[in-house]
Amino acid sequence: MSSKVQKRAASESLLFLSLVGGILVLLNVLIAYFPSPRVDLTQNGLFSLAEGSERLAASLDDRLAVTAYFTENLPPPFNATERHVRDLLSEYSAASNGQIIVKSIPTTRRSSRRRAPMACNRSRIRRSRKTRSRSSKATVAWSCTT
Amino acid sequence: MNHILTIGGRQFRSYFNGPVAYIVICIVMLTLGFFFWNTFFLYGRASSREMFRWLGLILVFALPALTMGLLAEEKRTGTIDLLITMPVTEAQVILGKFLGVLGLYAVLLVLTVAYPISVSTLGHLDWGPVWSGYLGLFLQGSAVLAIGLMASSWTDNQLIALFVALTLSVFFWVLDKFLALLPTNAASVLEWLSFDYHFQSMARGVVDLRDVLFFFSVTVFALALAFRALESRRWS
Repeated sequence: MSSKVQKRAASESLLFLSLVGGILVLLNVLIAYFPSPRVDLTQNGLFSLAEGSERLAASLDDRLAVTAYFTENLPPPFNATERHVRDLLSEYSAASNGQIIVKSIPTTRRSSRRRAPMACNRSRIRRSRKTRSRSSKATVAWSCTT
Repeated sequence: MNHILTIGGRQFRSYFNGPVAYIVICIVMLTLGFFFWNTFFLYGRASSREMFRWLGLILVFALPALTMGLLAEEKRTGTIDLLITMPVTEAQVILGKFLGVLGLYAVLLVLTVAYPISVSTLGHLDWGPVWSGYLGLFLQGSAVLAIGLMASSWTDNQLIALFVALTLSVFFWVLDKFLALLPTNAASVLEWLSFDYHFQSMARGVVDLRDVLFFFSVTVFALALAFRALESRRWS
């Protein structure tokens, strides 16, 4: 193969690769900002948001950052609640087409009682729940800022 | 299409003629069994969610071992030149090899169905999230296998292919674990690039076209890169 033909083959191959990459990135960017088909296969529709919630999340015109503080290694049944809250936040994030950004911050049981109130002082929306069990103390605090 | 199936079938059979498939399958099943059952009775819930959490992580580490020799070994022994001189295109070689390893991966996934079946005998199991979890695992696994094939096409050393594939796969898996430390805009981009972020959505029973498209895109792009690496032998 002559060097001219080789160069042409190399540039054609590079062009093909850039084209494939460009199309894929474009498709992903487009679908990220528009509602896409979403099927909830759970028996009771556990992760299906109410129509109003979906409409509200989809109509946000600015970014909403949600910082959620979760105590690590919670014992059952509190860990199921923690997982459910995480999942629901993810569903809101998906329904908002990228406008709701969820950040989860793990806290140890010892530090959670100290750190969570600090986060709440900075937030506009405050919600905290303390759950006491015989063997452990658990705190879940949400801090939401726009 | 016939050439692709022939190459894929040969690759699939070759896995079971050697020890690699058996070793990987045994390691995955044993590791999964240990981590899944270790905490299963503590949680006291008939759910396969934890299984998918562990399996998603274990496979990110295990699958590069299946792909490391796909093209690197053929290059080292020189059989890749023989393969290319046959009436097959580079794209057919890549797709055939990919189908072969994907077949083995499908066998591995079918074997793990024993775990949800066991769980269903202990309590009421919701099978919807199980099927969507398997779809997620299949898509995530396809992406990891395509990355492994791409790494294998870059070198003739299996170990280098293994480390490159492992590094890339773990990097894409771990991306959404440090989002709290990043500014919001960067966090949303990195979250989108994370394998685990897209997989966890399916593991809980929700199938979103965005997640499917993401894994499909990574798979196609990695295969296109592997194709280019193989094609570049013509002019290098």
